[in-house]
Amino acid sequence: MSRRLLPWILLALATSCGDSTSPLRADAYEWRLFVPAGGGGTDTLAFAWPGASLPVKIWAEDTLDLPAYAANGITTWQDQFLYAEFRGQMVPDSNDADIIIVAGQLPATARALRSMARECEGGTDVPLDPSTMILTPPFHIYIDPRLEDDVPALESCLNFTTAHELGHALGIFQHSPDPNDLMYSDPVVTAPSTRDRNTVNRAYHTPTTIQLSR
Amino acid sequence: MRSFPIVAAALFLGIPGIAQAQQPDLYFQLGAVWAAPLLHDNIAGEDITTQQSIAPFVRLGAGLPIAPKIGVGLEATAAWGGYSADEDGTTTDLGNITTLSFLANLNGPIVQRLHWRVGLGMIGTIPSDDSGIFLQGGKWNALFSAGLDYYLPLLTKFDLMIGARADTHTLTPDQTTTVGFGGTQWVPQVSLGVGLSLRKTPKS
Repeated sequence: MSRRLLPWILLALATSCGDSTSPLRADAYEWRLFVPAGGGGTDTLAFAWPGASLPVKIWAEDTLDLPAYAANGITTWQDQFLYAEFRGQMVPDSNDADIIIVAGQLPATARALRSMARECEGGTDVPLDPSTMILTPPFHIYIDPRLEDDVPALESCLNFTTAHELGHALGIFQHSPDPNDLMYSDPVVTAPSTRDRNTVNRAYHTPTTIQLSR
Repeated sequence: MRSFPIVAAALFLGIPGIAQAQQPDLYFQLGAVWAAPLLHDNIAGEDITTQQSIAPFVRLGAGLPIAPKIGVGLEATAAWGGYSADEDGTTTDLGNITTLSFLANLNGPIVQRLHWRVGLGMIGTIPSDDSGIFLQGGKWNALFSAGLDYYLPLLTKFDLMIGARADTHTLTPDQTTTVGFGGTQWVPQVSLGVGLSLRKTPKS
C-alpha cells in the first residue's frame, strides 16, 4: 500500500502550489505636488518617508487631547500598509520631531495644505523648497477648533482632522476630490477609505523626486 | 512553547519502558524549516515578496502500529522565525512568526532503516504583532505532509532519527482579503530534522 500511495501524495504536494492574486489598487487619486518649472513647464514632486528615516518622530502639543489624536493618526496610517512602509512614533521633545502638531491657526505665510471640516480646521506646513526639491523637516501641523464647546462632534473632528493632516505629512500633497475619502479637502469621514489606502500605498512605491534633508 | 522540550524529555525518560511493550513509535526532533513565499504583491509596478526566514523547529511524535507494515501517528511541530518583505533588493523586517502544526499520519517501512510518513492536519501561523498582512491576526489552515525518516542505531533503546518533510498549506490572512487579494496562496515547506526515536532498527 505504502509504495502505491507515496508517489500520488508527492505528486499532489508538488502540484498544489499556487499564488493569490494581488489587488490592482488602481482606484486612487493624485497625491503628487505640481510646481512651476524653470522653463515654463511643470515639475511633479513625489515624497515618501524613506525606510532609513523610520520611525517618523511626531510630537504633539499637550492640549485639546492632541497627543492622543496624533497617536491614533499614526496607527490609522500604519494600518493602511502591508509591509511596514510607514512607521511613526510619538516623541516627548519637539526638538527631536519630524512632525510637530500644535493647536492654533495656520500662519498666513505658510506653504500649506488646509482642511476645513465643520467643527474644526487643520493645516499642514510643508517644509519644501520647490526650487531645490529639498524637504527639511519638521512639518508643522496646526489644528484649530472652530467651536469652543467640548462637544462629541468636535472631538471627532479633531481626531480625523489630525489624521488627515498626518496624511499630508506622509506625502499626500493633494486633496481627494471625493468626500468619501479622509483626504477630501473638507473631510467628513473618520477613517481612510480604500482610495486613501490605495493612494498612500502607491505613494510609498513610487520613486521620490524630493530629497530629505536632516 | 517553552514546555515542548520538557514534555519531550519527560516522554523519553518516562514512557519507553511501557511503550516498548506495545511497539510504539515515539520520537523527538530538532531541525530547520524553509517555507516558500507567504505572499506576492505588486504596487505601482514594484514586485514585493513576503517570506519567512529559515526557522528552527522542535517536533514531537508518537504512534502505534495498526498492521504489520503500517502505523498511525500524531506529530506536533513548533517553529519560530522572522518574516520580511523584499522589494527590489531592499528587505524590510516585519517581525516574527510562530507556526504550530498538528498532524495525523500514516507511516511504514520502505526498507529496514528508511520509513515513509504521510499526514494531514492543521497549521497555525501566529505573528508576533497584529500588523501588516496579519493586521487581523494569524490563521489556522489545513496542512498536508509527506516525509521520509531514516533510522540509525545509536543506543540500546534509541535510534538516531533523521527526518525530512515536504509540507504544503494555504495561507490567506484576513487582512489580505480585506485589501483585495484574491485566490489562494499555497505555502510549500521543506524541513530537515535530527533527533531520537525509540529503537526501530534490529538489535545486533
